[in-house]
Amino acid sequence: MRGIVLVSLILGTAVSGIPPDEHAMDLPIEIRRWYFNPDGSCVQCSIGMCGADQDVPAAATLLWDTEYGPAERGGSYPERVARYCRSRGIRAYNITGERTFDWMRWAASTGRGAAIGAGRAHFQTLVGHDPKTGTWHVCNNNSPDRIDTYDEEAFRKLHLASGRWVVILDYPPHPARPAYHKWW
Amino acid sequence: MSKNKKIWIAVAAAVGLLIAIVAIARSDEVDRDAVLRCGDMVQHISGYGQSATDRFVEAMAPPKDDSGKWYISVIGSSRSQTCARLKDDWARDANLLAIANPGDPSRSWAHWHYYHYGDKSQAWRFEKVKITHIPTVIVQPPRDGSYGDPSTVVCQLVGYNGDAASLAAKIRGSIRAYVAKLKTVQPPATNTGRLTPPWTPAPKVDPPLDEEDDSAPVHRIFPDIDIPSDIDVQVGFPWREIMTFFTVGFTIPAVIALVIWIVVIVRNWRKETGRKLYLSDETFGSVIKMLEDFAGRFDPKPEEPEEEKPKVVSRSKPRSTRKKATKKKTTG
Repeated sequence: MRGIVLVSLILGTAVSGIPPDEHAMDLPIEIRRWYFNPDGSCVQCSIGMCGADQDVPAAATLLWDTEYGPAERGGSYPERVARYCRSRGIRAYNITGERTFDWMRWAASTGRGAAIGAGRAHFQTLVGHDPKTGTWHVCNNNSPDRIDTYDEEAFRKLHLASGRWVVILDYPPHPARPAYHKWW
Repeated sequence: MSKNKKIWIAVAAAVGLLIAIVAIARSDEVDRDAVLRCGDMVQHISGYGQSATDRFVEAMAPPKDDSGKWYISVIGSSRSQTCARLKDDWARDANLLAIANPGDPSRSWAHWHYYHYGDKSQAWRFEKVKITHIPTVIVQPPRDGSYGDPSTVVCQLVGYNGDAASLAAKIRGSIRAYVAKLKTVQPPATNTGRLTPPWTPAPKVDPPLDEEDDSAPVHRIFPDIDIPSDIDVQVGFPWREIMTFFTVGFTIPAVIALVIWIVVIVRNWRKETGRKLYLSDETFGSVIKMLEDFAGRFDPKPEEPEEEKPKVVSRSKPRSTRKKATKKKTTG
């Protein structure tokens, strides 16, 4: 085990972050459609997608009445997110201000999605980021069937239009979809 | 006012009203003023209760990159005693905690997930693998690609009988075998009434367990090859026995040691080249042990050193104990 950890540390430093051609978030369209924004609940739709991606039922079910808590609908703000995260036992980073871009890069490079301010008074889900090409991939809960792409400048404008606010779930990212390969 | 003018005014008013409604509706979604009031803030909501980190703090750097961690996915059911036992053991047993710490992801060596069998929000992840038993444990390499294709199932283990050490050994053994071979890797809801989700979420609290005990020893179903759990049979070159050929001549222990060495070499070669092995590692290990024990019978036993007898000093007169005791008292 010690050997594995050592090799992991050596290689881990050589290769950092998930490959840029792979989206951090991996949700099929059928699941993304569950988070179509019906009533101005964009923040909860965005966090819910992250919950489904990271298998956090308390977050994935934000929009509905379940044993995890009552449905959270309508517009939101950081204090409200903190309140329902606490009441549902959801671990999350609730970030506002200057460092939101650092956090979004961190989320994408570690395989996590993020609920982000994107568009005027709107929240969307960060799906991935390719640092080599400066491309950001975002899923809008008003059009969950597609993933929109933005260059650095367009993405900056998109994020700033809503105000610097990001919510990232503090749970491990999902594994790649497992498949059998003959490795031996 | 002409009829056309009236129509245009009506259309303009309708468009204006529509824009105003959309603007009002959208501005409700995110309270921008509230975001601005927060300023630079990273609030870490740690689950339940109010902690120091819940208070407004200065900008905090993101956590360290954990994209290089391996993945352990456990697929279980809340109705299975075995799954519940495995889940509990994983939170307590040192062998399993060393691999993944479910309660403290930041300190965990691997990312750990517990997926509920049949949860539609997650079932699509496992479409390319066969989940035939629960609990199933799937081990995968990190998503950063540092250990090959991250989708690779390094091993798929099923069953659990409470032997956490054995499960941990099987996981370690599989990772070790995989790492050793790495170079060859090919690589819509309504808001009326109660709002129910479009799938049945995993239960918050596990329901009462079935009476039936479905525990079974851990066994690997993928890959279907013989991977040693942790310990390979290693036998060094029998130098001592070879020397006895030249000095004493043929002896049974020397011949057995040479045979063991040749058999282990041949077996390791067959294993490395992927040929069929006639004995499992455990059986092979016990055969080797039996041969070694047998050879040990012929080893000359070293002479036991004679016990040193205590020297008896004969005295003509017994020493006076009273005198000595008196002396001790005075020096004390």
